[in-house]
Amino acid sequence: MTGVAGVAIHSVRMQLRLVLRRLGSLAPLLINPLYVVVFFGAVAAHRPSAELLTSLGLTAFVMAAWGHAVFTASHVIDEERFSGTMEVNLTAPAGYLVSLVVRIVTVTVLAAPVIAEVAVVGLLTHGTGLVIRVPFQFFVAVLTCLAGCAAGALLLSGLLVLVRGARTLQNALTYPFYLLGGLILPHFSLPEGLRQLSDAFFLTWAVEGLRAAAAGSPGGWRDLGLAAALAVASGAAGTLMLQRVLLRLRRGEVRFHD
Amino acid sequence: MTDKARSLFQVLWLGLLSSFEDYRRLFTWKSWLLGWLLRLVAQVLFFAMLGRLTGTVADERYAAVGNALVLAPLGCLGVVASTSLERRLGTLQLLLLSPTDPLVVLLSRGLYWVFDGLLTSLVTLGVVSALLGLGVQHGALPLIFCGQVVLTLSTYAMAMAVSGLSIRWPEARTFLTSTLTIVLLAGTGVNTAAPAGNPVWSVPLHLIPVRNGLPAVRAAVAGTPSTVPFLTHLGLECLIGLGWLAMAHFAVVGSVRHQVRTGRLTTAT
Amino acid sequence: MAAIEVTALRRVFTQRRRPGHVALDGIDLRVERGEVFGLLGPNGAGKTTLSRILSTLLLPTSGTVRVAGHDVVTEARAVRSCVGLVLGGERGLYGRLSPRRNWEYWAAMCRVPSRVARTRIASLLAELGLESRADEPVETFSRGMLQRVHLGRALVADPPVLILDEPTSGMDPNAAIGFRRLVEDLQAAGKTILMATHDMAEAEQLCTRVAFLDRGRILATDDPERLGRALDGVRTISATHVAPAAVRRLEALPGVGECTVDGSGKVVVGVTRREDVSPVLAVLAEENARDIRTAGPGLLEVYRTLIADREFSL
Repeated sequence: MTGVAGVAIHSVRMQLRLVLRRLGSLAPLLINPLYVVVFFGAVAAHRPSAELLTSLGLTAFVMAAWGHAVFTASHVIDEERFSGTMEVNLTAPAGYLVSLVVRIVTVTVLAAPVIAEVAVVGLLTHGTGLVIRVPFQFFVAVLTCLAGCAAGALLLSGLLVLVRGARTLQNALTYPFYLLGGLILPHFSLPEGLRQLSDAFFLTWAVEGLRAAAAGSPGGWRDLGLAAALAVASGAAGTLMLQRVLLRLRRGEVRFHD
Repeated sequence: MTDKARSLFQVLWLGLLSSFEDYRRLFTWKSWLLGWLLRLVAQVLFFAMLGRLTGTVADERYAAVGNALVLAPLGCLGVVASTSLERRLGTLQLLLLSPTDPLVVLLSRGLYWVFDGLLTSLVTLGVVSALLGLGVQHGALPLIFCGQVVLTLSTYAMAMAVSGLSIRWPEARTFLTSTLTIVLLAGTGVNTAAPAGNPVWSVPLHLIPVRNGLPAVRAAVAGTPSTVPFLTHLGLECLIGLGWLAMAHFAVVGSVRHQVRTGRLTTAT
Repeated sequence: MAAIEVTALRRVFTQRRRPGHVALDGIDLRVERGEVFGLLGPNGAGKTTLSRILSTLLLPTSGTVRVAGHDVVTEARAVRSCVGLVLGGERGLYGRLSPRRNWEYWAAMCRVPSRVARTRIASLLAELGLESRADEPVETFSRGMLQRVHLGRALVADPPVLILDEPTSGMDPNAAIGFRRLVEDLQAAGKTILMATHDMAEAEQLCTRVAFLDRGRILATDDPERLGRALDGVRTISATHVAPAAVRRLEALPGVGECTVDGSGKVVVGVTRREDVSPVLAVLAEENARDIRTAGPGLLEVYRTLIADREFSL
């Protein structure tokens, strides 16, 4: 198979092989869902409802997925620079951009099983898994959330190359964004100004969509639609930024490696 | 001061200076404020919100103080990553060529994590106190600082033991540090008063740093420390820290010996 | 049509608040199809910059560069289909993947149909002697083997032009000899090869022509032998079965700088001027010496003459 589809399929296979050869990079994915133990433990004394525990379980899932996108998926391009493969791959006639995008998305999607892990850990430690009222909608919500995380990773991976010192700012993309995305308290309880910022962030709507699908409450599809639209927009911006990165590398404005 | 002690302090001091230079390259004051401190304040607020979720102000305060204080011990876990980085860059083997005890060398090279942890934890406590109205008194600062030094050093000893293990099993590094983070957050009474629970579990939990000393520092933050419990809690914390230091010695020396024997010390992972 | 045509090429690296660094300054170059062309020069001379421009990794500041008839700026994609870049060392490969997986990925990126790629990979593994380790991660390979993986990767797409950037640096002598043999085979198969190297012996053995670069300019371009002959440098004359009396006569000749004799009667004489060669040869002939050989200045001497010795200065 040749063409874009061929490049995409080979890129997925290649990235999976790279990940499987260093399983340590997936360790945070295995461990971070255990935050559910911290969350459940913090509220356990107050006899929490199954809805509250589910909501906290979803928070652990989103944290794991977003953290994985920020710290692992966005590093695909960084590793390419470090190993010198970027230099070589840029001499391919076409398809490197497609390959990079596909590989970053592949790594992000590896966070999908975390949702099951969260449910199992919750069940084992506190006797409560995730209570999902509308499974199909919930499935779509999980996919939307992962797509948004992948889009974020794309954007960040470009920034990591273009902006000197971006790596040290990576830390600010976790907890501040969890607060902004309403992972604990709903985003509408944020102060004025921050709330508007939160409205433009895909994670806000993805979390709302996930919770609505789990609780079977109305408005979930609208939230998911908003999350998907914002994810597509940031995915497009991320792809354009990667394209720009590759162009700036050719112009010699950015170094192939640090 | 004996010659041996003088040379030990010199190694520690020079190790600290050289590693601090590395740290300075990592951050500028802007990226420290916007990247690191902002994240830590947000982290504390995040868990404080978790306390608010259940509806009581006391829970929110409890979680806020606990999470601000645990930042210093959590920061010490950075030494596991920096030791691995030394191995990857090939500088570890050169450091271990020196006649100094490998544990002392590694302790000195990672000591800046202790200072960084103490600084960030105290600054964050101040910021969060202002934001949530925790009312931490200035007069309590010396006691809080002393308590934090003990908690941080005992966790540093444990982190060094894990560094030793990660020299031998580098691929387990991320796994170990992520697990320790969860253990410190869930098992030491940071977010909620550590329940007495099942005695089978409570004994090993007391071997974790922070768990024994945290109540003393909490009391200092609240401005109500009583001398005897304060000293008892911190004394216990010191003992646990010394125990971990012994473990660190075995882990580092054992791992280095193993790596030299198998010729894997230079293998970057 | 030439395989590579470079006209008035200039590349300037600009840095904030600093004057631009001129890496290439008015380069004109023409490499014919089937040639093995060497780029020689000290570190920082511009060899890697030129290699990168030829492989479309870097845009020129001005001038025109055509590879296999395509412009590197306006027809980059077409150029990439014709060029294989071979880097030296461990960089440029996925260490955790095997040679087969590295090549498969590259073949997909070059849009080589899967069936063709499979066949080509199988034959390359055999040709490069990597069959037995085809499925092992390349991070466990020796330097010589890594270089073969690099070469195989570049050849998977069967490009007519190969650009080798210091391909044998850090290799042990046997591995380097093996690699040179592979380059000779590639030349015989009609590939055009441009090779940036520090190894003068390698350039002498492999290159049909070489160019000396220094501070972004080409100082000389020609075939290695002609460059040596044109140089008024040290020539060596060696012979065997030379009697001690003959050695004394040789030493007395004007222009003889060095005269060494080993225990078996082999003598090596060094002269600096072309006109000093004939008297030495005459003496050796008169003294019935055997195996008389002369050697002109090699590329190393040409290099030392053309490029000022800056020792460790930058």
